[in-house]
Amino acid sequence: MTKMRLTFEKGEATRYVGHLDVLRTFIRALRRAQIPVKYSEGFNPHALMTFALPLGVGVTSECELVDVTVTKQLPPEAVIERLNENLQAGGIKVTACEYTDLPFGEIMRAEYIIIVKTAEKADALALENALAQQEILVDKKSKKQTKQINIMEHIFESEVQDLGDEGFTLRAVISAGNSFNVKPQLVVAAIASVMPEPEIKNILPHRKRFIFQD
Amino acid sequence: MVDISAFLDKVEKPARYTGGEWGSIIKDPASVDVRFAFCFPDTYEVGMSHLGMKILYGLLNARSDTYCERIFAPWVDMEQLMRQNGVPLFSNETHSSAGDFDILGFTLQYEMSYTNIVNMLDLAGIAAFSENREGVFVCAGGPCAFNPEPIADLIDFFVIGEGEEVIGEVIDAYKTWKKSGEPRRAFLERIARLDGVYVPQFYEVSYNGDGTLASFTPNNENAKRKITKRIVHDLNKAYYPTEFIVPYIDIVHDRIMLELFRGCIRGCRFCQAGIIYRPVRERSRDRLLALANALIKHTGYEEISLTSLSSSDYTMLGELCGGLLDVTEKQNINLALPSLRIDNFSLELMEKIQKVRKSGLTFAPEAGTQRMRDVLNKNITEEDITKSTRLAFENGYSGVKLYFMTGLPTETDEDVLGIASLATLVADQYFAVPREQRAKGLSITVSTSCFVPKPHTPFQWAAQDSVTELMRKQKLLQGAIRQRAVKYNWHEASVSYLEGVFARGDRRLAKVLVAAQKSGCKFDSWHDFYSFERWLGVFAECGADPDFYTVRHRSYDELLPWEHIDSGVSKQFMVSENERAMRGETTPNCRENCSGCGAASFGGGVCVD
Repeated sequence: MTKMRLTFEKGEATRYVGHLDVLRTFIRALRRAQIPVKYSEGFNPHALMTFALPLGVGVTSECELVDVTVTKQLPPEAVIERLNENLQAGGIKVTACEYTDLPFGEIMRAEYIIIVKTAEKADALALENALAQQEILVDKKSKKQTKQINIMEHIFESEVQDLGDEGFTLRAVISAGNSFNVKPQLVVAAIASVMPEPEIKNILPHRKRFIFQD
Repeated sequence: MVDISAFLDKVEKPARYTGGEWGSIIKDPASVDVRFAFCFPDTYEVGMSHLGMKILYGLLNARSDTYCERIFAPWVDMEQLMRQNGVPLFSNETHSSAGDFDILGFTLQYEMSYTNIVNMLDLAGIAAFSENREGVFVCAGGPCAFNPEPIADLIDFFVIGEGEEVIGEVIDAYKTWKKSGEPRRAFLERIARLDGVYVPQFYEVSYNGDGTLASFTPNNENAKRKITKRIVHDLNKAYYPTEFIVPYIDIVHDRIMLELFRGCIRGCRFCQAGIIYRPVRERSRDRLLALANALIKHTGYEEISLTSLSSSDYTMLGELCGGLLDVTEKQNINLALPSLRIDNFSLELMEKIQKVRKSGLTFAPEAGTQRMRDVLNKNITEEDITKSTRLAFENGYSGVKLYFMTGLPTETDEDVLGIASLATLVADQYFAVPREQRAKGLSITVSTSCFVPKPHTPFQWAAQDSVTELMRKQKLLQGAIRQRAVKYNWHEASVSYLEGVFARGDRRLAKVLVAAQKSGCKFDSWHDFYSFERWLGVFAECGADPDFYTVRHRSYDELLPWEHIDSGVSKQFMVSENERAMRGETTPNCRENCSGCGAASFGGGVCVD
């Protein structure tokens, strides 16, 4: 029994597929690809797999990690090939596979590229100003409660990469992880709260990489 | 192509609209001759659970000259955004506007989805009435097409019976017509000649002073006097998809469906499916095992469900399950067996296949007294029920669901109260099992639906109970159920009343449906938006009397609006069954003794085996 670590992309076609649905998609793709996944014992056997960090609805990614316990080691290239043959193009795509005994490193931060579509061109200075604030209070909702946080404490890097008539692209490194996670959409909502114009029409975040604890 | 990207983070379950699932088919629309859209007038989760769609989707896309896409009713949040932004109804695969297709095919699974059809056409910018329509053709099929009349003015043509038999011929005719450059009407004339195709505009209807139908006659030489349903003669040779679309999001039936057979030998007199799918035709065990293997491989599903109207009646059920278990056990696949009659055999089978919790068993006695069950020809005795529930309780089950109907023909208060007595009797079976042998926590759920007389059944002439009467009976029963372990659920009577209007309605109802949509009726089978008062207002506004279609008793002489649709079962048989019902006489099932219903004329299945 070994642990197989997969790196995968969540593409545009699956942007609005939530975490549990990604999990289910993986289980089925693994079955189709006939990867020898280890199942738990008991009345309701389930595939033994763990995701490094759930990815929310509306976010794409190129750096997702999942560990799958298997009963037999297949060559990594074969795993990648067989899985991708069994996943619809444009959605989830496996990019790397390795066997490991180590648990995931502790995720502290993540880098996102966020495309923000606006009704008209945003003002460059207003954007700079928004990102330079010391404090912007936002409501951070979890399943159990809503808490007010200063989001600026959780933004470690931010820059406007592209500013056009229909919106802008933001690169941001923000808090992420299983103990404290900030959604990229919340960063944009914070900017909007100090920059009411122009109206934001659509937020399209993309997770670029995880930053682990040293 | 429509652009919905800006709506997706503003709606519930956005993956309903984005397509791209495993098994969905991508073709270049420009590379095909015919673009077909399979339209399901309900949400994605409901529509994606429908076997008929999987069959037709696979069958049509197997043709290189055709591209079949899917269209579902957008949920109200999405609809609002679409209307605000002028975005028309679109397909899941290519996000094409519904109006860009050659043919839209709606499936008619339940009457309460009719307003969604009108709403979808409206969203698509397609004329509601067939006579005003240009461009795209709108067709419909499915069980409700056996009385097509309430939506006859809205639909260009209907396919009667099993669509996989006819659809290829329709596509061929479409291609020929498109090349010919003939007017729109010429296509309809072409297909009106095909067996199983009904083109409503080629018929003239007149009414008597009392509102009943006076005549129903073809007004076009291509139109047949009677449209006989089409059936698949040999299910082993018939197309069955080995590739299902596997949705990303959870749907109602998210599993492999393996269709054992069509039709039902039982002949329950209230059941429309039991008539319109005659004769019973089985798939062979070998074919089913081959299909199961292919589907497991392609879909990766972790559950496989055997589907049919009554799985226990499959002749080789034990052998089939044995063969399936050999495959499923090794691969951690769950085997589900709905529609089973509970007896020693099936309990043993369930023991073998379901290693899950012994939570609940479901029975559908349909009526509370033996007299009433005999009227229905529901051949279950009280002894069957007590024996099988006793057996279930002895085997560690503690939950039983019991399904009944109220408002049945000849039903008295005694029959209604019989439901409560039967529930008590089932509870007695539980307590008769020694405490240490039975599972804890008895739970009996009694559910009653309201009987709706359906076309093409022996009860098609029956008067439906009024809403007041149905509610009185529900109250009566509620008062009679006193045991703590018994929970009572009942179905909203007014919804059944409306269902009754459209089940046995005539052509004059299309305008009511269009007016209903205008006043905001949609998703009527969902509690969220349904309003009986609004519906009554619409009937009044249109000058239509819903009572005419429901609580009125019809005579055998009356020309019924669906009489031009031939299910293969004779009127004579239906009359005789209704008469036997009134006398409380049962009729043996198709395997015991042929009752000469007429379905033998198709020359297939149980009639010739």
